[in-house]
Amino acid sequence: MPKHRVVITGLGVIASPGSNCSQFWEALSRGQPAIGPINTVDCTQLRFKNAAEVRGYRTEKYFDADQAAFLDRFTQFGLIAAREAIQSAELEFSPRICERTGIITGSAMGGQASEDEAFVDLYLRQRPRVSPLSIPRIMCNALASHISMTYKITGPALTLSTACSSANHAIGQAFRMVREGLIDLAVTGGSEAPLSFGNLKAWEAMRIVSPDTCRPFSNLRKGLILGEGAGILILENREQALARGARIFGELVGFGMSSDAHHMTQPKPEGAARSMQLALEDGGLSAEAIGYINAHGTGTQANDSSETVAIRQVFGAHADNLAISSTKSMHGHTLGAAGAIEAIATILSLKHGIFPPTANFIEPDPECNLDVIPNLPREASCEYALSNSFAFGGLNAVLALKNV
Amino acid sequence: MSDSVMQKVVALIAKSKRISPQTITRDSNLEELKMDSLDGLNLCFELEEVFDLSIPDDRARSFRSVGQIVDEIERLVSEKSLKPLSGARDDA
Repeated sequence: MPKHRVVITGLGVIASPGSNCSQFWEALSRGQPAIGPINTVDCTQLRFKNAAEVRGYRTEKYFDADQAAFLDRFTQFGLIAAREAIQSAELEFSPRICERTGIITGSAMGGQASEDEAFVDLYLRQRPRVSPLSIPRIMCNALASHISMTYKITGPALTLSTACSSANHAIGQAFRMVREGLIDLAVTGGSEAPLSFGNLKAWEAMRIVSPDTCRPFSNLRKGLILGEGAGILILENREQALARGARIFGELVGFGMSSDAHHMTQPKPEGAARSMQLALEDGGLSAEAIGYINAHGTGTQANDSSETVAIRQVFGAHADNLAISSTKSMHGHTLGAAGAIEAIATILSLKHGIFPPTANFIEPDPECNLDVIPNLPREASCEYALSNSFAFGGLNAVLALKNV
Repeated sequence: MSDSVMQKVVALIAKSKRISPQTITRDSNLEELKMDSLDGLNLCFELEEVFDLSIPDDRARSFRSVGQIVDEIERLVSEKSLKPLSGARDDA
């Protein structure tokens, strides 16, 4: 038996639909996509021009110049989301709590913009040196370190990098550490800022970025839309949360992970199915207990049909009763932040009794024959939901969440 | 020109899949040649380098046979020869 139940007592998000949870939920619950032309990078030499950018973002609104010098955009987003999550949890970090708190973050790409900038200095401008802050800005664990320093948190801190599953793997590890009593509290999630010219060219070469928008599960889908942002959750041992009278947003009840052992870019439904099955088993849930799935739903040909097969393998006849949506249709694919942003979307969906839709949907694809909540949000409620993340390289991570 | 494009496509596939060029014809199906999606991406990348052109994503995704690839490269090569020289390679 697990030692502790794990509840979610804080949420923070910054992504293209909004710079905090209330703006974010407002857009998602109305089914409003936040995808448009890329402003931060010159796209003249790119085949695609659109992304889910955090529009109008200004560093100086959140950080002074001395702080900002150390912070790549992905760390800035992560710290903004962490600040909101910690504030919403109304936490006071005593030295004892700081020792018993862990930080587990996810990022697929780390400080892309800072890396690009350093390489432009070296290779293009022929400068003999790069900024000494390049490495502290680029490293994937920069966010975990900055959260630790900002809040004086001295428990275990680490960063996981498993491409598009990074945040779900991070949240899953944090969940298990709290459940087993290694820590009482965790600041966990993911952050990503993948819009640098070099990185966009690398995505262009993959030929899976849509030239217009993201249409998951639709037969006219043309690929994913890259997004940026961060999501942070506060996970807490339930007894402690109840004892301090914390507001509880939801409960994390299960985590499943698996690997496909198959291909670097082609998903294998059996791998995804196994991670969903394991999340159900970990939470002691029957397939019939699940009412909603926040799908991985990237909008690529391969993912959406494979995910459909996987859902049918796990849920059998109950698959036709499930409400399923891909909120990537609104906030884009935020890679290493995706799991966290989508876990937050899932918790808010359960809490508000509204399932956000799969936006930009045109017409069904017979290979994706599930109820994917096309275009219009749906008022509905359920007790349990899954949030799926399936990464390139076949690394799968699924969270099972409970409405409270 | 047709022969040279065909020869290049065949040579690249043969090298990538370590098979004899003689086993590859215009009608060869990419799946039968065991070309998966990453092999396809790499082939497009090398053809873009060799012929200095840019293959649109939707075309690249639609390739099922060697002949379709050859036809598309030939189309792009002839399109390029009609255009004035330019640095831009934007086909979005």
